[in-house]
Amino acid sequence: MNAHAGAGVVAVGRLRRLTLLRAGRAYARWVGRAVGWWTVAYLVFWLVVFVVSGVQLAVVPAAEPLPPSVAAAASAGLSVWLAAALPRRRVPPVHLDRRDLIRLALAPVPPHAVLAYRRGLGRLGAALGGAAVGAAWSLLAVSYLHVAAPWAALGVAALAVARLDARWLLYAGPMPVLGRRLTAGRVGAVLALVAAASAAAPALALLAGGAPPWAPAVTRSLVDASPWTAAAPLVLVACAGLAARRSLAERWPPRFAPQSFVLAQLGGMRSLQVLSRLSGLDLGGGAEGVERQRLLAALHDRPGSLRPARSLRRPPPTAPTWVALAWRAASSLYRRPVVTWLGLAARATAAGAAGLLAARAVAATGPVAATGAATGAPGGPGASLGGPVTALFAGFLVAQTVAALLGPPAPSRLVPVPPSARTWGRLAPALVALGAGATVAGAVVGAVPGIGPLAAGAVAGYCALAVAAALVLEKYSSWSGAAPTRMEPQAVAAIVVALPALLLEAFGYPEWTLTAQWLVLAVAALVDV
Amino acid sequence: MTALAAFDPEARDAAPILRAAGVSVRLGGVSVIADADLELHAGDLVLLTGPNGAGKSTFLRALVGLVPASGEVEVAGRPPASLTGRAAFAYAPDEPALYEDLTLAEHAYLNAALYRDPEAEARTLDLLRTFGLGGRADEYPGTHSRGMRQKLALSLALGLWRPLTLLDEPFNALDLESQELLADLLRDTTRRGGAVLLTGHQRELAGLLGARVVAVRDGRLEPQPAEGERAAPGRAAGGP
Repeated sequence: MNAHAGAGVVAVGRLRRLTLLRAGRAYARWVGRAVGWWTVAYLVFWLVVFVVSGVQLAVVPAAEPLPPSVAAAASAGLSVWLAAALPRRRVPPVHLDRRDLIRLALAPVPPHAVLAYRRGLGRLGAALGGAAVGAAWSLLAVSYLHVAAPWAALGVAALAVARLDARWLLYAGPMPVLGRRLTAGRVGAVLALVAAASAAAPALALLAGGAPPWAPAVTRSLVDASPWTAAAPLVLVACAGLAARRSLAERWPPRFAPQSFVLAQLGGMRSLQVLSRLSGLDLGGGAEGVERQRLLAALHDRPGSLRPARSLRRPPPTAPTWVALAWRAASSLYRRPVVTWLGLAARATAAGAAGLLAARAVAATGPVAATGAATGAPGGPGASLGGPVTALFAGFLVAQTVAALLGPPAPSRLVPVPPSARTWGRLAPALVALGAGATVAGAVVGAVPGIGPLAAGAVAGYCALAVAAALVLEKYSSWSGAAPTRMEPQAVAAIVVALPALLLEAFGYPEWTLTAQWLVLAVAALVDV
Repeated sequence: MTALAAFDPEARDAAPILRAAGVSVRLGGVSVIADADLELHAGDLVLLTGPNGAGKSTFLRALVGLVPASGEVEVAGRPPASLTGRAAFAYAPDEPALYEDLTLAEHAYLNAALYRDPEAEARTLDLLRTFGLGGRADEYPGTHSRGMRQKLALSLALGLWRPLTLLDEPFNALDLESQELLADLLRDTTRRGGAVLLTGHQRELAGLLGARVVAVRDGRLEPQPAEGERAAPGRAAGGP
């Protein structure tokens, strides 16, 4: 076992060096060719100059120092942050990717050697983040508290790393650290509690009316210039690091491998989403949200990992194709998290408000204005919102909202679905949501003093603008292959619906804008792509 | 284009269901398929064989328009990209293309609705039951094994009863029992008057299926002589 383990540790180390070296060389070559190292050096130099001069300009030393309660508040904030690590023990703070899990974690190699690279990366990230926060504090403390705290960067960095290790220990729970009784979970809880209590002590003392007892605090580096102030955090990080390593001496925590699998998939999905957004591809519409929920359910052993938590009733099999596609889009929306629903509802309401105000201004300048004063007189607060720019803005907001509501991508081009069925099927739930959003927005806008209830002309104008923008977005994105969530189809939809206002205002016939808006809607509906 | 009814033997002499003439595919400046001709009539079962990278899957993708190709392709007398052309075939790629946010039963429903064939839903659910997935119809396919996902993809394609069924490596990842089931289902499809074009590495599959074999070699299609003997199912499909 020992010979195996020793050889395994050496092999893992060699593998890491080799792959990292190759990746580093490839990256350096790529940067050298694509950007050029002199360019990078030039950019870095000026970035440093700008940051330093910006900080010097922005941070003006205060004539009077701020009260010590500010430092106590910072210490209390740090203690809350450290204590927040305590309940987070259901998911590992670091995990392996699928390849390492199969190739290394199942091999007879001590787990600490396999996880060393990932842990190292995590600790490095935590240390850099902590150091940045500590350095910023040092800078501000000198100017505003009149206190020199040059070791704050080191102290906060050490605390950040210790917190990461404590989270691992709390996750590893029953894994032995020293003997059977001293388990990882116990060590982690003690370390996190000690750190949190020590950081909270100054704040509590200040609240009680006494002087802040900075002496025992792990946060003393925030208000003291002595290098010894970093000693307590460094001892903490050493203890936590050693305990975390010992918890990985022989076995993996029971749920580490299956959770790593899921976390690796979630990470891959996140990367894919970022890349797809950058390149404008639509990989799954709302589907990836549902898949993410399913993976999260699998991660926490919750129901919903095998079967959907909620389903919409399917239309009868004899229903037209567009109804089936509408069910598909609505189903995808229905299965998204409630938080997403709230966000979508807010967007639909905002789009409705912008669209109604734009349409109200258009209606006020057109023949519909003659129907009553309720539309608002030209020159009033409504009319100032009118014009092509407002229509463009409203069209863009509507297009953005529709893109979020469209759901999964259009069915494959191999499937015999007529374009009109595809368009109306995909748009149906989005149009219903837009209608509901506009109803709420109409009620809110109508209650605003000086605007009053909206007239039929404004509502009709918004209907024409919103449906035309939605149609153009869906048809253009299906025709061009550009994801509806991308800027390009949304901009096209906004420009098309703003064209009537733009052209008719330029030619001096703004009163025909509403009619032209309906014409645009008719053309958008008739174009069969 | 509706689903298949009873097989009319006269249909074999009628116009071909699939007609590919002079089909060529070039990918990245390299010729993958050169001047390929193929005709499938009602009741035909054709197996495309060849080594890895021979171009079998590419040829299938070219037939349905997933890969740019030159030459002429007609499905039921129509271009495969047209609405009526698309209604005439069902295609299952080598990697099952499934929606991860739909359950198996919802896949069956949506598939039937898109092809405007309400009965296809019941047929697909029947096939799922045949493949032993009846009790899992309310689950997401994302939680299923590769073989189970393959069974769903095959059920969706075969449940449509289209005149032409194109299956890319359909026997991959299936257990022995399911391989035999699939062979029976493919024979049933051709007995109903459908034409089936599938790809596979093993020429022994032809014996199992009673299929006409066309080898893909250096980008060219070469019809092979019919095999007399019928191989054991497990061996035929690449089993142990």
